[in-house]
Amino acid sequence: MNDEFTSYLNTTGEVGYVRRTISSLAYVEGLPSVRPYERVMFETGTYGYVNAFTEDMVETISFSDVPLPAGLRVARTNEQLSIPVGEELLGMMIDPLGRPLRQDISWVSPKTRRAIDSEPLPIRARARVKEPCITGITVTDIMVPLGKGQRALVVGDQKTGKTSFLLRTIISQIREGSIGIYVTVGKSKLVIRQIEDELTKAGVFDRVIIVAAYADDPAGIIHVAPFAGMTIAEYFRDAGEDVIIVIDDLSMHAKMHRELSLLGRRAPGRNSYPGDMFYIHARLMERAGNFITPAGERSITCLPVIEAAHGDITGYIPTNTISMTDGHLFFDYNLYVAGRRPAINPFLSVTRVGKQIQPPIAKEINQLLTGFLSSARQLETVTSFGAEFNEQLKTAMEKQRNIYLFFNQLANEILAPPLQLYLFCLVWNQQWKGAPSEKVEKELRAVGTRYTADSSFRKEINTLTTKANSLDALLALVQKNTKL
Amino acid sequence: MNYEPIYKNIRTISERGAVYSAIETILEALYKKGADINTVIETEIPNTLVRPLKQALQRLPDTSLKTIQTYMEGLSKQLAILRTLSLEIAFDPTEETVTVLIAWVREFLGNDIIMEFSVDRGLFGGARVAYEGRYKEINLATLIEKTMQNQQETIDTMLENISV
Repeated sequence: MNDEFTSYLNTTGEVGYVRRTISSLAYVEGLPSVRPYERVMFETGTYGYVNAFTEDMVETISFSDVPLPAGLRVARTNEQLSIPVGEELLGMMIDPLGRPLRQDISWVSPKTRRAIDSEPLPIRARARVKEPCITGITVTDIMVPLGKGQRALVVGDQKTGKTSFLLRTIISQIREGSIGIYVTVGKSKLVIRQIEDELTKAGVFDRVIIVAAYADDPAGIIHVAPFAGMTIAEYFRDAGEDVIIVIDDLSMHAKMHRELSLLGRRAPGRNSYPGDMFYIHARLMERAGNFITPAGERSITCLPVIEAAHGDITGYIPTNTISMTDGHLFFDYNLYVAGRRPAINPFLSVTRVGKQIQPPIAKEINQLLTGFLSSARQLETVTSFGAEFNEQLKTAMEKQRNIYLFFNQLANEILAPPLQLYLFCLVWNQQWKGAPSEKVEKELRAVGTRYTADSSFRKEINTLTTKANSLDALLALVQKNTKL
Repeated sequence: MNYEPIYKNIRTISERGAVYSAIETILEALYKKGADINTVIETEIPNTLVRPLKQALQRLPDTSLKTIQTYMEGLSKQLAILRTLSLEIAFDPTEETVTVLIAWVREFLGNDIIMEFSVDRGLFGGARVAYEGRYKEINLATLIEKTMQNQQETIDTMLENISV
């Protein structure tokens, strides 16, 4: 018999027997003092945890790849389902139970363990979001700014560039000193490998932890993945670090929760999701935020992803998640098809805390562009009816086109905030008046490349943007120094 | 209905299994054309169960098929709620051992209890008992190991003195 299993039996003095199994669910008779979310061990050596109780049975979720046979013995462990947490996890790809997924790396498991389900911190331990969370994506940083500690939903159709956006945001934040956690919920091995490669290529993998639940993992493992990621985030927050966590994606997690609930014969609600669907996700989201810690204010910025079929954000899970987060970024399939990268629709995206912490000039640009782009959209409608273009209309339409070109970014392009402001000024000052879009695009890229490569140019732009105390002043300064 | 005369003769899980299959045989035969229940019991059911079953059926208020069916279904349900005491020992228990053990267990826990025996040859001087989710291992090997652990220092000192 497994020594560990025997030791648990002897320590707790309790035993249970699997009486019935339905997929990942195992109904156990016995274990009289077992508690909810307690980790249990099956005689085969696999683990599971207590999910619910029926009148005479304990409902457990097993982490076994194969269904457990009836009659199998089960032991209590007298501890909550937990994972190892520590600095050792940095630069690792682990499964939701904290086991390394790459065998070619030598690794010492952290000694500290934390329960994966913990009570979110109360309101007195929270602070207002005060610092901007720079993503390096122009359209986000200017139009839908995020703050450190914000829960920002990333919602959109499949293949609309969500992962690319998330990776750039994580990379930007890591370069600013945060710790990155990328949780994949039921993704293919290929996608996870690509994420790992991107982060390695950007040279930030040593500050990242990937919590990977593969699509072919048991439902129980996939289900705990977001909680495991959040537990690691909480550890680093308590260790005095800012953390950014991506949960890719929550809609798959909701499906797993639905699957387990239906197998457990819970009453189905809307779209067959169980009644506690909102509670499960809201409790998870509440664990993120800006917190008051002994080391000062530390944040867990959470970016959950929801896949909205055919861009429909009015579904049950998208609306649920929209209501429990502090804003959302909508990735529009139509914009993606039209060639906009990233395909974020600023008019359908919301940020509830980002604007309050946006730097003054960026805020001015935001207000200016919101007004300009909506009136330009109306003008576009008018002109589509064949109205004649006067000079003013032509200028407005060209400006609108250039603004969208300015928002366009290459797949791995990260723009620093001063560069974003500078480029905006160039576009707004009509630096490339009458030029075709290819030329404008080329020129914008050229300025970006020069900013990265030429340190004196970078320094000059940084000085320029810090020197100005208003948008008008900055526009004037840039106008004066266009031949930098 | 009184099922005690039947289930008090059941001592182990395997015996309960035999009764289950007997119930199934009887239920299947009930509505078979030309089948006589007494003949079925005498020919198709293990000898040990023939007499108690016949006696139980004789005690029924009437011998209609419906009454026999209800009785058999009730018996099946009653068997399912019997409590089980699991005992893991190092040897195959003889009939005599089983009888002695079940008598002793029923004296303390009541007649609605049956035993499940399993064998682990690795057990040394003891047994593992599980009952209603409670587990206890009383094993000489474990006792020796525990004592060795507790007395480690004393044993080390003794060994050192001997070597000196």
